[in-house]
Amino acid sequence: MFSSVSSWILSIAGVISLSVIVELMLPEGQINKYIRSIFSFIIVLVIISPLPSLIGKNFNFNDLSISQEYELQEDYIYQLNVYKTEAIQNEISSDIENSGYKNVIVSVSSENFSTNFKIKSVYVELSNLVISENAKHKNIIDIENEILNIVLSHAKVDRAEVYFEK
Amino acid sequence: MKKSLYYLFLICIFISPFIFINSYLISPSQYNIEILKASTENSLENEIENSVNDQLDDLDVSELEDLLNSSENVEDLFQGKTFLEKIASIINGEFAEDSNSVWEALLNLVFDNLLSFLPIIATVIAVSILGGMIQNLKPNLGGKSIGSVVHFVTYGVVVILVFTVIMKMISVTSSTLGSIKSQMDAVFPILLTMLTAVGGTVSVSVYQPAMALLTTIIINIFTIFLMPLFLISTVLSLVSNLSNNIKLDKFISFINSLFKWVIGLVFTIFIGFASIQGITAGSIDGLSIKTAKFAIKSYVPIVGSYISDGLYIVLASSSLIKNAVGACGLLMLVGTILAPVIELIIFMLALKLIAGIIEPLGDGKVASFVSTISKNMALLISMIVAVSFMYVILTGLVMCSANII
Repeated sequence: MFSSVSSWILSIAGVISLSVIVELMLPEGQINKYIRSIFSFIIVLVIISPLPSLIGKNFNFNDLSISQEYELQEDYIYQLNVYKTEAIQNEISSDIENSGYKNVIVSVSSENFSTNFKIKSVYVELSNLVISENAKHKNIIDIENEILNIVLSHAKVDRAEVYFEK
Repeated sequence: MKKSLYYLFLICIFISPFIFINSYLISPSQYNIEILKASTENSLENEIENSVNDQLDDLDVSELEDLLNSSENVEDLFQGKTFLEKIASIINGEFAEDSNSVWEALLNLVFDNLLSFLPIIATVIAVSILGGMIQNLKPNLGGKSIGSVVHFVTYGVVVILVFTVIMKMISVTSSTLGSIKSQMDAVFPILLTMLTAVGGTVSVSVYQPAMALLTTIIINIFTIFLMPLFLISTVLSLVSNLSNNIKLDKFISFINSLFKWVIGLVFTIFIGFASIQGITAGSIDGLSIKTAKFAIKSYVPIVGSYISDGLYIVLASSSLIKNAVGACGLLMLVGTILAPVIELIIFMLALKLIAGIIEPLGDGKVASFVSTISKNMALLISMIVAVSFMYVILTGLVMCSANII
């Protein structure tokens, strides 16, 4: 397509240069006028010559299609998800400790390899639980409920996905 | 009207990094106010700084470093810093102090280019003055043809001189477009990664195709359709001024307006779709981030009031890095396009000056050839400016979206 365009432009330029040279070489006179008008006709013909072939032609735009897709940096997203998981885990354990329950081990597991950060489940280990004096509840079921509330307040996770180990 | 728009865009491009950076440096302070109710300022700053440093260690910017080292102008603009160091210093707010050196570099560029074009200006003017003098003072020997031959010689010399520079300008423009494309290819994946990290998944799904469109189809349209159009218009303006009888001015103006309309349509459609979709997606993302945050806050009875929000520190530093990467990308863009655009502008003005000087000397055809070429140079400038402006808008949109923390 582009080679035909360039040949079209070259032929326009060529015909014009030719007419200028002929005009320069011919002596002044009556015949000069006719030759000039003939060259004008030729130039018009050259300019409009590719136009009829444009009709009914299928243009191929395949080389303009999108072939590119950007790859995200998976390592970075994974590492950031690990940071997020750690941050949530730290917040939950410090909250639990501030409520008066010590030695509770919280571990949060999340989909670290996905671009959509999501917490899968939370494990709370209560085997080494030490209940300090300022704690609200002493009963283990009440404690579990309170810890469950704390966990749910920090992590968007199903109630059924919070596991307790005693 | 159109030309003044191009210059407006140009000014916007040069100013945009400063504006974006200044406006996005505000976001950490807003963030501070929100969270600082609980935590002391110093410890929070330290925490954010640590988090930023941790995340910068994980970020892979090797491609950008290579690009940075390949261009001298960009290196000057970065003042010998690596990309990561520049990101860190932008996050720390050390950006505005550089602006003096930018202006200095700009003035240097202008004067260097002016000096490099002086010989060609002088030669063209001298040749046409000589031609004009010979034509005016010629003995009345051969009548018409000696005058025509002198005109042809003058015209030929001027054409050769001007076309050597035009060929250089064409290669400068296409290499600039190529380096803008390679910069976009390096910056966009990082921006998309950061956008994903902050939680803007809907925005990513909008910007990913827009970016691919910009770097493939639009750059292709510019290089394989508009560049030949510029060449056609230049060649035709050469032959159109050869003779008095055959003029192609209207045909040239058809090609020029085709060029302008293609650029205008591509530009408007791209920017329109990208910004409308991007803003919508950004508000959806913002809503989901906000509801998540709200849900968390409303649950917490008392305890939530004095904890440090570790998750939000991670997210805030990610969004700081995202904006700093965008800002550094724009800075690189400015460093890349500054030299060629100024070169093109100076050349265009020099041609206009030449045309103005040689017009009174009689040779109207040489003057009109030179002034047509100077009009065509605006097309080359508009190509670079349009691509850079689309890049700036897209980066700005990414910097704006998912900043809600």
